[in-house]
Amino acid sequence: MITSMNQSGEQPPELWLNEAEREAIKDFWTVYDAHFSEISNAVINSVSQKPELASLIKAVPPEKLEAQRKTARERMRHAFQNGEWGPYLQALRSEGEAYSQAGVSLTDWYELFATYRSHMLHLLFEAYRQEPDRLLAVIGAYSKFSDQIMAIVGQAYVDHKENIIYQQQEAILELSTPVLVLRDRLLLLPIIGLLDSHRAQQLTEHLLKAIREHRARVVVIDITGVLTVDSMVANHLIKTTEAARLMGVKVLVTGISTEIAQTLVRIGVDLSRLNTLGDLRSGLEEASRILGYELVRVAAEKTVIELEPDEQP
Amino acid sequence: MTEEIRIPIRSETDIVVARQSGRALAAEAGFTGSELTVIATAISEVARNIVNYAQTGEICIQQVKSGKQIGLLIVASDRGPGIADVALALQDGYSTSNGLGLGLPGVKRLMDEFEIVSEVGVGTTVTMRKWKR
Amino acid sequence: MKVPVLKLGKYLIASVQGSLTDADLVELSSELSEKVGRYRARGVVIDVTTLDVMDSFATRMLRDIAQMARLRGAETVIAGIQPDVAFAMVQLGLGLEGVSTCLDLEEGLAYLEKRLKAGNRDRGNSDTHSL
Repeated sequence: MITSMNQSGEQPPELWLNEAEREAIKDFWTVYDAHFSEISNAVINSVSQKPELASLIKAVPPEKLEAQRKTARERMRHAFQNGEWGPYLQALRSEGEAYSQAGVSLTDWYELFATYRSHMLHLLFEAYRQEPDRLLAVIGAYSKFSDQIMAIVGQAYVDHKENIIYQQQEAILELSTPVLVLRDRLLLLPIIGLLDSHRAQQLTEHLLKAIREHRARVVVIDITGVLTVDSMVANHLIKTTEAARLMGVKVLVTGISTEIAQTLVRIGVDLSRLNTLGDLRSGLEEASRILGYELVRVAAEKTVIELEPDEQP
Repeated sequence: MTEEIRIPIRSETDIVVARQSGRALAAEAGFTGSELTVIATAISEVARNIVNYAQTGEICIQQVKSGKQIGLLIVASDRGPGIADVALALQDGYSTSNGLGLGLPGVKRLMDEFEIVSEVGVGTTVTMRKWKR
Repeated sequence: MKVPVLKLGKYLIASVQGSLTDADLVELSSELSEKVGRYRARGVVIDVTTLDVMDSFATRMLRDIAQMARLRGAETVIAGIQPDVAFAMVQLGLGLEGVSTCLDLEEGLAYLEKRLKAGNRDRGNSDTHSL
């Protein structure tokens, strides 16, 4: 089974119209094509009354605008007359995304579309007034068709916004997992907040890359700030410890209180696979020791005297 | 843009071909560096199972879509002896730490979706998918 | 692709390039086995910095190589497992228990030096005690 994709890598949406409706909609196209200039001008008129949309149009040079209109018209012709709906519907989706990106509100777009639609309905009535059955068929088809247009553009807006949210979430995740270089070869990773699978994986990858970048020998992971420490969290810590070990690094986990430790053991987590220490300070001291450092006081505490400007030597 | 690759697995050298092809296709689809390694490793393991237990088989890799999500579909199939107890093979203890056993629980952990169909005397098909984050 | 094995003093350095087939690993194993014996090497560094994937076979072979070397008096260290590879290995449930690992070739050699010194010191002490 081979999945087909167009150039942008996405599958075009399916047209909602059934066979009969696809026939009927050709009548719409006849009217639209015949009144193309009139309709285009009417649309541009309405657009110019909406500031964001107007600035969008103004940004495009007239020849390019003309070329775009030509391409759009041909695309529509291929869709309505030859049944090649893919490119047309795909272009509609891209349009929606572009508007969303440009900051055009969905309401503004909808108002514009509504104006254009009532204009079209008026033209259709005029054209097929004498043939009630035909008129009914084309109105029905056009009604469904414009429903789909609204659905596609609306969905494009939603997708665009969701994409932004996702990107922001990733950025937040990045910001909230800082790996601190404490001293030569020693990294500290304080984890704060909720730890789900996705974040845990991200943390591990982040940490492993930092290990390589800073040539760390010891890592202290402090989980004092983690809200819920359950078996899932413990397993992630174990995995992280093992992965770091494969890179030649020792991992110390601090911030597991006695109570949490007892709970974890009770639910069957093998804590022996982790190097745990009660608090961050002990963890850092142990890490320093491993690296061969020793904290020695060399002098009494110095007092700092602040000199007044005229007391300067 | 390539959409589907089929790699016949007949000997251990095909294992490398399979995982490199998989990596390339995944890279084309836009997967990140560590996802590429995960995918290549999973393909290596299932290809290895084919070589070890069925001697010959095939791995088919293709890019797939689900709504807006892009992913990679990997199907490893063979007409080998089959696995008598699939449930047992998927249990964590029955795994690959020392290169013995099928390593299926591990591969399952690497992938987002994992299915295995096997019949003794007929063959085995492993279907797995990884989605771009 | 064949893995080049170099001699550096009392150490052997095997530099893996890119992708390894099973045959490559088997060949590496026998070559290291032979050379550890021939040169009476005291340590082996296997540099896997550019290794793309570490699967179950590779893991098993590296463990076997380390064991073989130990039997012949040489300590093995695997250097340069990349973050992605380490992550995938751990997800797959593969470990290199009993085998030393380190960040890169430089670290690997430093580690072997340290171990060698420590080993000599112990041997020196025990000699003294036995007197």
